[in-house]
Amino acid sequence: MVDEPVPVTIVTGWDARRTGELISQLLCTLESRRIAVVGGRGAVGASDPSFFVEVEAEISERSAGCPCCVVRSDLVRIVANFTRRVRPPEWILLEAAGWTDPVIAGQTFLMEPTLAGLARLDGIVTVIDGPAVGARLRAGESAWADPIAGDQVAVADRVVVRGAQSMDIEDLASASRAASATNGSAAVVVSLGEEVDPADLLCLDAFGPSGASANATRPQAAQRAGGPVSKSATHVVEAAGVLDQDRLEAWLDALHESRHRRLLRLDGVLAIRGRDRQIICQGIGTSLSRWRGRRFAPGEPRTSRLVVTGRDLDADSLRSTLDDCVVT
Amino acid sequence: MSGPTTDVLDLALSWTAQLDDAVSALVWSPDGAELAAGSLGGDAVVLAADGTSRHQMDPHHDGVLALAWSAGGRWLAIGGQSSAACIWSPGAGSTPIPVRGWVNDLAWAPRSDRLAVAAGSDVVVVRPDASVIADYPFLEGTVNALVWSGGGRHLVVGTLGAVHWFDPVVAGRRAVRTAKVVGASLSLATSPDTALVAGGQLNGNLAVWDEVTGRGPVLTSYDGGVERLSWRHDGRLLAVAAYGELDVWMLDARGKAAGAPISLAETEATLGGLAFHPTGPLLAGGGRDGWLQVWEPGAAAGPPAMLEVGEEITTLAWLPGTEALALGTSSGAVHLVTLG
Repeated sequence: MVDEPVPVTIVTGWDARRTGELISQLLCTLESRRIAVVGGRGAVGASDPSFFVEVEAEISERSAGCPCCVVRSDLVRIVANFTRRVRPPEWILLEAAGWTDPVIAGQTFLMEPTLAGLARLDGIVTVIDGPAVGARLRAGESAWADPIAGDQVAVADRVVVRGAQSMDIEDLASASRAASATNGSAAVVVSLGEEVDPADLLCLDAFGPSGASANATRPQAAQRAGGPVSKSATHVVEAAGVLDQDRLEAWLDALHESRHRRLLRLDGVLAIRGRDRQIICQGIGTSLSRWRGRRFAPGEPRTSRLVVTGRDLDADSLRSTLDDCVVT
Repeated sequence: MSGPTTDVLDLALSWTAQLDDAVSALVWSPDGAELAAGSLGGDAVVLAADGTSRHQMDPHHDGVLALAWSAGGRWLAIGGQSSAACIWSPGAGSTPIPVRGWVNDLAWAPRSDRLAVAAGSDVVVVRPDASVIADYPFLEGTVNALVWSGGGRHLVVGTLGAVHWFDPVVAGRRAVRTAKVVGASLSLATSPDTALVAGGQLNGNLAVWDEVTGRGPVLTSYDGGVERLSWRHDGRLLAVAAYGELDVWMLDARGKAAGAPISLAETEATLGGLAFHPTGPLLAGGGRDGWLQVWEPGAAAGPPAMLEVGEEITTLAWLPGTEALALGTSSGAVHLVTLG
């Protein structure tokens, strides 16, 4: 039984071979630690075989009814069982490769009360196959082989480019730019050969109030890639002045409810009328958590900043409609 | 749960056995002579009713999740996270069952030797020699629970977005009935006359379906997943453990609720173990706070009998024909508790 929630890192990516390589190298580097792995069929095992569960991901389509109810019951049980062990794992790596939707996996940890106190989501690491992305861009194709692949990059806290040792410098640069164009918040880590530094990928503390605040205020990478990259992208939405609570709620509801686009992730620091503290919010998929942040300093301008990641989002519309929430 | 209160029954520890890790499953053989116990560390043992070890099975390296005795007590089925399941008997040893995926649940059909195994998103029905009678591969999602209903004719399977009724003998892979649910099914329990099936979902919904029609109302929606269900022997009361709550519903023969449920306790999380006595009025529950509580729901009784175990109770099972129960804990202890 755990005293502190066990950190969980979602390792996602379109190419299961590349995610498997990264997990293997992490396990190798951390071989003396108790690292559990939850992976898809054919996934690599943990260093301790009693800490590996192979699981076919539950279907994460929204066909099961209300999307807010879609959390993965398989993950809930596996993770709960890990944490009930006499010697629970120190870390859990959850592989979400190929078609597996990292958003549903992520919101499972944020929404499911059974896991509260047992496990916490630390971060999302997305692995891309550098040579494949470079070749696609050279051929004038979209950087990502499928919209899900774009989503996997868009929700990441870290994007790891694998296979860099076999890429020429132009391809490597264009693959890295594509990752930044899709997700301006995530640091891009270029992985050469067998080298992987766990410090780059673990202990990110990206979820929770401190992570949300840091994500919302971090400078974004310049969105300079030209041509088709992805329908998924990260947008910074800012508003000067305090927001009306009711109008903000309607704005958030509209963001979640559209059938024509998909909200993947949201991190925000908000100034709301009548509140002397910042309100920090964070969501993945349809989950949304809020916390009270720091108190505004005397004379400090009241501004709100949200980093909104999604598929087919209209950045100009997001900004103008958030502006409509400002109390004039 | 609330703190200790005045006992109305005496509870006493009779014996303790030790497994290698948190106890994940406890099941008494039908005659009460043997207790099968499994752990998250992989221990799988058969204990005598006095707590002494009778058989140590091959370990399931990734943890045992489910155990089930056949109706006559001749075979014991074992399944776990290692994506392996087997049927064991003292004479024949272990026979592996061909499954893919981790095994969440096992259920022998009443009055027959058919075993249903939930493995990942597959279900397979086998004979004691592990030969396959029917298989249902690639259902909508992970199969978290399965039970037999209709006197053992139908296999009821809870998966993502649906509860299916299968007839493994005559209907092949086609579901004879399907009840749509929202989200993942977590728990299923057949009423003692097998005419009703109660189902709990991850989103907190609780439903009771008629075995014949597959229809029935959603009784309520709890704040968290409905993990555990237990029927009283007469089928009139259904105990429900959802996240943070323990209720008892009074139901008629068609599964219709007679008003609001009786709230027995507010719990710190979902109870690790919940079971009505197989033939009597008592209901036992235990969870993360380390207290075993025994109620007599529906009677004008006082507060529950309580016993502090001192660590999380992960599962429990009544010893047939007695007022004793076995409970497992997070440290791997198996205790036999008797009611005075």
